[in-house]
Amino acid sequence: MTSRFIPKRPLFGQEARLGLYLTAPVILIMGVLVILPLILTVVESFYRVEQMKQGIPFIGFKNYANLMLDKDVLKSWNNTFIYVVIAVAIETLGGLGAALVLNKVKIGRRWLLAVVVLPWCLPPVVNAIIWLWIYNPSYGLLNALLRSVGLISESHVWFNDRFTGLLLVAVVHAWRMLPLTAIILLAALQSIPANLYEAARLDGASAWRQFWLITLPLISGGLAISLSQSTVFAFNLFDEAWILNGSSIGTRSLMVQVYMSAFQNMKFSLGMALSIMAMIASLIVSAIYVLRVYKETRFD
Amino acid sequence: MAQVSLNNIIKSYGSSQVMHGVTFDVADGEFVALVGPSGCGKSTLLRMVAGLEDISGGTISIANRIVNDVEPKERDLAMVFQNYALYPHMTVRQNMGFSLKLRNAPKTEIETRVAEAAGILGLKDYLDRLPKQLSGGQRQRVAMGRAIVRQPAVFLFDEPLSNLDAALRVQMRAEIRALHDRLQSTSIFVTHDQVEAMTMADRIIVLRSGRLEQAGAPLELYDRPANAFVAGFIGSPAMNLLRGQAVDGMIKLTPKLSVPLPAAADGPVIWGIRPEHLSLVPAGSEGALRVRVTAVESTGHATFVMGDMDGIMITALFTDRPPLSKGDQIYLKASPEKQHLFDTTTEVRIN
Repeated sequence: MTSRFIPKRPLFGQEARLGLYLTAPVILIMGVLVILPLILTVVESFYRVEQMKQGIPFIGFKNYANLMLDKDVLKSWNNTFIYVVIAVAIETLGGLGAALVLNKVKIGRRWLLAVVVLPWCLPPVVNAIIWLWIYNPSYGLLNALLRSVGLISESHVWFNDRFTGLLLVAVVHAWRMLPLTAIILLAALQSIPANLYEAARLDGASAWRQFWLITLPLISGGLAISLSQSTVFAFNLFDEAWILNGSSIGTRSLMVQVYMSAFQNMKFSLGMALSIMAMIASLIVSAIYVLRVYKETRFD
Repeated sequence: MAQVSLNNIIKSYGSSQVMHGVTFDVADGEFVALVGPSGCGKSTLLRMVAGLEDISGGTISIANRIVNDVEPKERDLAMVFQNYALYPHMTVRQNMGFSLKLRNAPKTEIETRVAEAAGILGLKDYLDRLPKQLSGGQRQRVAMGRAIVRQPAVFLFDEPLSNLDAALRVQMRAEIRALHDRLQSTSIFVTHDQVEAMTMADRIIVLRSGRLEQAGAPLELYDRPANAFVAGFIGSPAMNLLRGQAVDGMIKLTPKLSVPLPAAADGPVIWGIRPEHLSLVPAGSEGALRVRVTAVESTGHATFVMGDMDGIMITALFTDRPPLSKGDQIYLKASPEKQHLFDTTTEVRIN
């Protein structure tokens, strides 16, 4: 217990040096590909970097001020918040449902898991194109299905209505991201010892109360992780909105707006400022989940 | 308070039968230990009583009500699990009050009953802690507390002491027994440790491979085991069980070695003698067995002597610390009235 039994070591002992060597590649990659661009983006968002104009003068918060006033930007913020709410709701409820089913199924779980994971494995563009066909006004599956069950009498052009458009884009995004939530929650469910449920059955808990009082609190860590990742990804929604409805303002997401500002209108620094704001917003929302939902639990 | 009866209990998984018609009763207020080696079915049996495992055949009744198809929560019993199964996200207080809360008991009643149980178990200072902040022994007490606040008719214990260290196990053994004496509730205690069974139970039920081998008071099983399995299982160090041929009033253990037959028998038999029923005698005494000492182990209060007699291993136990060491030649004599004789094929007791 006393210090004379512990050999004196240099500041970076053998173990520490090994640790440094092992983390060096990750530090390097993260530094060059994430941290450095992030710093550059923050710095340049205070300048006027525009292809069409001479020089890159420092303009302080002018980019940010312009963004606050731009109607299209405000609309795309609004659209993105709607995407986040719909997508996170579908992914969390659907993912939890899928995880509970997968956790219960004994026979053929591997196959079912493979089926559930499939949409997540598809490239986002491929996924969106498949849904583009489904939503097609003249030969799409959605119109055909709804007509055949008699819910609609004639084919709809779905993206004519703003809210329907937002919903359909969010559904495509959720369809792709739901498997990740399902897998995170399945892992959390499987870490709950089975005899807690046996104890609960003896204590007199119905299936519903077992879920509410034992399962839910014990997967809160997994829920926080899945909620924050689905929020961050929904904030960054781009492919689905772009492919399904292009730059149309009714379904334009923040990321589409960033792309429009930076690469269509050639106002690079404006796009940078907007992406910084989007990052801060998604960080704030996920920080709320992590702080409120996540509780450290140890099962032993 | 209730009587538990198991009648011809059968359990099969698919085509393989693991429980072959076990029948026994646990009287109201009795403390019964189910013992047996790993895989004998003792835990399965307990889980069947709890309602956590389906019954393939036979009936289980609690307080004269057949409960085969009754939900666990309707059986009015509490169970203490081997790894305690405490809810990790609930404090000690919430863990203990959980079952009452589910029954919508009034808050004040939950408070008083939890406080009462915490008082009995010495948990008063830990009520607001989470299970992970407790030591193994304290978690064990919380698991007990969760059971006793319910005031159930029957307590079930599934190897509750096996995760504790040796000293704590001895202490909890006494505490559980004291608790039983205080609450007077029917208890079934599963263990693989025959010392636990011997020290705690009013009655022991020995199981092997899904069959009941013997049921009886601890000392009854120790003094008159019904068969060679129980004889070897109960008691530590284990009884010496030596195979031989009964001929002309003698048991021939080897061509050169014989002992007097303690009861009338003929043909192949198993001769049993507990280590403490062997005594050191001078060379040349009548009926003495010549043994070469191969190992001596002392625990302080007893000395175990392992020896070789004409190729057969035998263990003796002395409490007076004889000055023996490896390689010594000694003579042992078995007390005539403490010998056991079993049939070789059926393993059933003969004398």
